[in-house]
Amino acid sequence: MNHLPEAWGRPRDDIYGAYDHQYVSASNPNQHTTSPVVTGTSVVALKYNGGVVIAADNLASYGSLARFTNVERLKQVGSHTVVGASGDVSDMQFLFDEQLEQLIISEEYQNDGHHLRAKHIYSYLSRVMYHRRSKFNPLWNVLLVAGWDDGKPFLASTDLLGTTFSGPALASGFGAHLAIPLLRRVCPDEAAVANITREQAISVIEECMKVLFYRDARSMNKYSMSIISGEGDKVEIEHRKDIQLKQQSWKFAESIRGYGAQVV
Amino acid sequence: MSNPFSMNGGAVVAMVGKDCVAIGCDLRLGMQALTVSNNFPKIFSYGDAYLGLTGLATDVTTMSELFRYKVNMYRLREERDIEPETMANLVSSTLYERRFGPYFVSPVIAGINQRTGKPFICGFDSIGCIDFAKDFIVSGTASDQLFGTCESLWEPDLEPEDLFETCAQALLNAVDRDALSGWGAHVYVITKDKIIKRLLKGRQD
Amino acid sequence: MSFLATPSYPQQNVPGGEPTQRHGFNPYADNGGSIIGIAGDDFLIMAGDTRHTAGYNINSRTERKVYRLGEESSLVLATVGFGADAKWLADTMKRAVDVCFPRLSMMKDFKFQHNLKDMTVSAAAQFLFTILYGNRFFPKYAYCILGGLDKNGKARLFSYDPVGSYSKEGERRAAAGAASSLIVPFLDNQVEFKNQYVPGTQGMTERPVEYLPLEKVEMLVKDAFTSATERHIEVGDGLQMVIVSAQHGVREEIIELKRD
Repeated sequence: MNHLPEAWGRPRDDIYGAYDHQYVSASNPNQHTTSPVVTGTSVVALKYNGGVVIAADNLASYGSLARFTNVERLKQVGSHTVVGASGDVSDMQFLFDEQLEQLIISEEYQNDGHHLRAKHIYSYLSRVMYHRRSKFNPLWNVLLVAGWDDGKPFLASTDLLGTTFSGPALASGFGAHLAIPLLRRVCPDEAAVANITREQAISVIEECMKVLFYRDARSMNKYSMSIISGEGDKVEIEHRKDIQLKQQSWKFAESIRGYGAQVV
Repeated sequence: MSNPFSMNGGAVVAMVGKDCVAIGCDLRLGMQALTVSNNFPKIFSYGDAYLGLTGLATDVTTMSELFRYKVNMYRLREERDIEPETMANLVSSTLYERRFGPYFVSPVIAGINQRTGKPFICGFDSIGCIDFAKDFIVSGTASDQLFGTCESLWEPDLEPEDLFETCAQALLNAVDRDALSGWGAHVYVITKDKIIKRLLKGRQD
Repeated sequence: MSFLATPSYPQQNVPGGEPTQRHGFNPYADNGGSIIGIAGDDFLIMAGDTRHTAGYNINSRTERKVYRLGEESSLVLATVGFGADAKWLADTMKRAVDVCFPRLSMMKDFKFQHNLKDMTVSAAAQFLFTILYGNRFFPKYAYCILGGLDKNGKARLFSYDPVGSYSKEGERRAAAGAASSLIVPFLDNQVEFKNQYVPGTQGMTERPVEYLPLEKVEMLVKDAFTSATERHIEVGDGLQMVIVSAQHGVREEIIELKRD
């Protein structure tokens, strides 16, 4: 075994082949993220009558290797907001632990009774993302911002290009393909939010996490969920950590032949 | 630039009306951006079936002559005209024979079935997949524009004269926004007992 | 060897200078959708669909593309293309035309500097050109249509490419975005009466162009978008229309389009 520091945390050469030194080269021009390295997969979120539910699993992958299995990809920012990140984990940690932490400190330091709400956090993040893409040095993430704002649930997305959009049900990564159809079935538009209860929203999100675990090879069966609920100006955020997927059924797997289209 | 479907330019549209069909084409023949002829019709008549061909001009000519041969053979064998539906299957199978080295054409068929009196139109991709549309078929370098004009101008059950006007306006306005099509047009209006062919001047640029 | 010869070794950063940057990151995306603008005599309609796409995914069914530049102003900007750039342009225009934070704004607000007078349409048009052309070497990938009423209450409309080309005379109608190739020939025919002739003149006299009434223009806009929705996958969900009228002020309307 090689115990030198530059080999720390890297997959063993004898098992995974030689390390690609393009990722972390010591000298030469200063480098930007041109592709993500350690990645987190989907984040899913859904508005309900009185709040938002957001969830992300605890896996950080290194390519196809399930590298870290205890990574928290949801972060509470201030008192009104939870941000979920998929994509590059180091960029996520930079945003969460450096940028957002500092933002909240300098904002709360004023002690003027004003607290940043979801819309403000989202505005800040989307501007950071757009700014970084314009410098050709993107933060390789898709971020979902969930929160309580102005007496209403808030949910919006921004990505490595600074593209922004909002909706009653959002999902990043693989979730955009697998979870969005499930979410839009219960919540086709903004008006439908009024008919969704907290319990319903939680169970739909749980279902989404299960489906994602079934079919997304970069996902795991342990995840975190945050429920942001509000009433008027009051906000309450519940964090559920280390949730294990419940009621998995692999019965369907027996009947699958080939890629799934085959029947006999 | 090196896409065979857009080297010579051209547009064809077919529409269904009340007991009638219309089919129209532009007259341009070009080599990339250079126009070399303004009298290159892309509609060919095979008895009751009218065939519009856009795409690579050499294939347009080849196919039109190949189908003249095939339809003549059919007529001799069967001692009757080919029905538009039969013609559609002939075109489809002919194209699919060249599945891995296709003719670079997007054919359109229009006609009235003389036996049933029913209007019939259809379109194909270059390897013979048939699109049986109930409303209209477009093809050629102005197909995007034609989709826009047809989708907004066409309505069901148009009488022959109204169908002509709709088809002509859809075609003329579409080709005016395509640099590779235009320079005049032909429009056929086909009813059970009459065929009217009109030559439209159109913009000469 | 001339000094122009490119070094064969990796370029080092100049101390104190901007770091060298060249690699494969693509800073653009196409978020689909279409916009149109039609000017009448003393009114104009700016419209856009509300679908926001990324490839075959529908990101959102409710993203607006038409922005009012200030609550008092008649200026309306519609942008389409790369969503982030489009939004940046709309924000920049809003900030320039309207009074928001005169003290903090990097760009000095027009209204603040000009005795609280509103920017005219033609000035806003030239300003938008300046912004777009200012980004000539890293373009904002968005097509813009800018409209508003001039000081005589007449409608003006301008349309731009991503690097700022526009016509100072303005135009009667404009379309941009994913389905512009479908919509433009329809508007040629129905707004400018292209290929239409006065009956009985043997096709010798073109039908004269005239200003259309508001109801007719509204109908054309709806027809254009329902047609585009039918045949273009990136268009649909909702139709946002902003109607600016000299008589009745500014009104916004959102109607449903097909969501498939």
